[in-house]
Amino acid sequence: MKQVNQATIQEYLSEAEEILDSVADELINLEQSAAEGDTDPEVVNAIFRGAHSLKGISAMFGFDDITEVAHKLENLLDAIRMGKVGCDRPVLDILFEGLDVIKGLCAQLVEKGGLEHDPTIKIFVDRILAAVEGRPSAVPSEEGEETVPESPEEEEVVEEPPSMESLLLSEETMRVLTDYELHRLEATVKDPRKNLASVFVGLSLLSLDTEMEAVSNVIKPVGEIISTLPAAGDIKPDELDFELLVAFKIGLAEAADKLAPLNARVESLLKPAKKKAVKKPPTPPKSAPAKEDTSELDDLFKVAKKPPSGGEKEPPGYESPPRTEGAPKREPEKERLQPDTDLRSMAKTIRVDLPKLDLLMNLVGELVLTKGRFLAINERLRNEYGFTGEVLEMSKAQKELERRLGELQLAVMDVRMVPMGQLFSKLNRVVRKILHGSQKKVNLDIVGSDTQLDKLIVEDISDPLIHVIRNSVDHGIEMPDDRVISGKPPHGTVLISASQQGNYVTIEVADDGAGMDVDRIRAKATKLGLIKPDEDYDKKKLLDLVFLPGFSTKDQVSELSGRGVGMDVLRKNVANISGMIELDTERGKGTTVKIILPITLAIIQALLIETSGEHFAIPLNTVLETVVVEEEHLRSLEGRPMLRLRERTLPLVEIGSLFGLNAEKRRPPFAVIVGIAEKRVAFGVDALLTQRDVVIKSLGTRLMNVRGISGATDLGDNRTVLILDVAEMIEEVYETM
Amino acid sequence: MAMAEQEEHNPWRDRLLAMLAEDSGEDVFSQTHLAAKAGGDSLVEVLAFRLGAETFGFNILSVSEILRPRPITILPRAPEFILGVVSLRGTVLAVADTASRLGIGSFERGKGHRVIIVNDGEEKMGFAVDSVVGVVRFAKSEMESTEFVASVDPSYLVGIGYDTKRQLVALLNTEKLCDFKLEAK
Repeated sequence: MKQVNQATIQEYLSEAEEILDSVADELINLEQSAAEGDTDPEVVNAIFRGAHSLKGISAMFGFDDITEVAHKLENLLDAIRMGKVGCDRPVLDILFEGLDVIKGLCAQLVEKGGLEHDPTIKIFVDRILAAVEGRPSAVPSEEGEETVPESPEEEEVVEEPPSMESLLLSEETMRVLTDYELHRLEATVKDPRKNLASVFVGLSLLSLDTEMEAVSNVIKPVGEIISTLPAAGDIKPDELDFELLVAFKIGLAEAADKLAPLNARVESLLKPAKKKAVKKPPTPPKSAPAKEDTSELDDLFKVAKKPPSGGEKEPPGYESPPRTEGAPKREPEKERLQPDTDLRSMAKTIRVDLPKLDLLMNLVGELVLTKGRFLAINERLRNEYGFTGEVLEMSKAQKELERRLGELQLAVMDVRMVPMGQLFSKLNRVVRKILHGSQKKVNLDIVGSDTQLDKLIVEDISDPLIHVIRNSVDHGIEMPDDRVISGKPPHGTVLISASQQGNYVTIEVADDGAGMDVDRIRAKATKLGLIKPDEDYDKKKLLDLVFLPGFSTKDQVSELSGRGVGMDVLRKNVANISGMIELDTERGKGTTVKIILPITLAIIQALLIETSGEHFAIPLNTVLETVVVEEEHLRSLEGRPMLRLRERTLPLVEIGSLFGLNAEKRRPPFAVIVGIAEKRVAFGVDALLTQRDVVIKSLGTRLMNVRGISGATDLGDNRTVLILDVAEMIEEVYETM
Repeated sequence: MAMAEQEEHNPWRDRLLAMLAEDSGEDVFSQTHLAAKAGGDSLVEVLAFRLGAETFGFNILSVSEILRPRPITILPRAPEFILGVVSLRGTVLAVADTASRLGIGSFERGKGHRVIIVNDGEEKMGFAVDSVVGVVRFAKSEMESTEFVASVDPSYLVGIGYDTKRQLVALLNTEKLCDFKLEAK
């Protein structure tokens, strides 16, 4: 038996358990819906996807037996969803048993640290295979596949029952549809309870995702979206038209009403029924008999309610799942449960609500403030009574408090840290999705999955990263043939690497694609009036321009032959989490996007300064140094004040004037040099006050977008001080240069 | 005067009234106006305050507390009517100049000024007012339309009523007042 270390097993289990839980829930749903004679294709799909994911991660970790079982279950589920196998009792039994077998194998992983070869697995797998190969259905499925026996010659004029020929879909459309989609169409056409329709909707390019989601949300409760197709029609510049093929459970007039507010049009997909003379067919066995057969199951199912499915969102805390409500129904299945399987979780991890963690962080923050007060009192006592006796004791105790508090702070911050690996598996799926249907071949390589980041930041960075990767795959990596011509391997590589430097984490996305044409960027920028035509600019400066709003627009993508829409949006999103983003590229070789993020946002060390009569806090991890401003170091560039610091000349910014506060136009006595990555700015200030830990408090949803301010902090004596968002301010300063 | 029969024991409301009493040194109940007819008429309790020469009010259900004067930190680049932010037991709240928000002038910061903290169901925020008058009760049926309060955008108002001294009190729509958001540029 191959021994695997526990850490790896835990990592596998935490993901596997989530899938198993969600599959278990869906299986119960499936049982219920099958009993009602209406096998819900969404549920079958969900279980199918679960089995598929389970197969994937089990294979990745090398747990062959589990992979094998998951694989065969996946095949069985595929057969079910394609209508090749009906969802009858024996099939359901196998599915449930499969779940238990896998759970048992997982338990073995925990107890024994590995999987022993078990011959009964093979036997079970064979049983699944037998089911896949078409055990005859005892319960008729939706399609009514039974052949209609010949009847005595009776003729009558009836409407031709709808079939695939009655669909108003062109040959080309039918060709584009997948087997599964065709199967669903066929199943729906024959189902008198369902109405097939096309939903035509135009979505704005800028908010495609949210608008599409809105439409899906309206349709899902009342119908099944079988396929989403691009629609022909007038292409408006900012819009994309879609045609959704939907099987509605409700009438089309009602559907049209529901969708009217979203500007969607509903049209039936059926040609008007033709009439013809047919031999009178005997009534085909409908769902009715199914209901009779399963009436006993119905009684059992009455108790079970629909439990929430797992999905990819964070499930609510650690509340006990509503399984207890389904308990009476579990009776017939008890024999299936292997005796040594219990319902206790096997993973040693626990899911925690982020708000709870935020609360913890807050409390620690308040403790930090209180510690500060003790420190101040201590000092006053020391000044008054000298460093002896009780004062000495107090000092010692206070130092210990400080140490412990520091540990607590680190521990709580650590709880919020998650490895980037979590995000990376999601990115893998995204890449596969993007490549679906494309001829491009792209490998995603990942380095540094262990690098840890605050959970909130990981959540916030996920969309920007997907954006960047999409750009790389869509616009960076060339078609395999073109690549070979250029002497590159036919498959492109996107390398994502994450590493930590001090208080920052750097994430790089590097592709070996076509790179960006800097000359074209220069030309575009000149045309847009962003740069002077005859001046020299270094590559960095030019690439930075790509992030300006209005630079990359849809019709300019081809010109740039590089990035797509929304680089300015991307930069804004990254700046929102106090990060920075940079580009580097080489024509023909590839492009690298670098994102730099602070490790945690909650408690930071800050430098308190005074300027224009107001106090501000500057995050210490952005402060490079503080200097006294000498007259001889002052410079001016196009009317903008600059500061010469050793060999560099930096913009000298008076925070007060940037913010429109009453600033005296005089030379500031001090300057705080801040920088993130390569960009540097000197903030001119009137006084440098002190350095201390501060807890960043959000300004709230109404005011959080104030540019240049990342939050506020309470200094403990009712004084609230604003915390500067250095990344945003640096951007702002450089934008106007 | 006797309390209406429908009065429920509402602990924070008592606290609020106690706060008011402590603050103004008067028995606040002498200010309240019992306009209810026989039981069955629903009451609206309003925290009334002055802005210049006019009296406005918030439904007491949305009022969370009343702050005495304290330093407000200026927030640059915020909407005009935002005076700044304050910190309240660990949370940072925005404070608005109520008069400016309503478009009828600006806040005086005189001696009796207060900041009324309201909760619109999402996040709290503060509204700075010239002075707090007290709690006024109207019967819902007695509240009149807002046609006569010409200076203020009608969408900010819920209705008007009269207090014991026949002073007009305009009830403000808390949600609408709190409804603003600085968009990312």
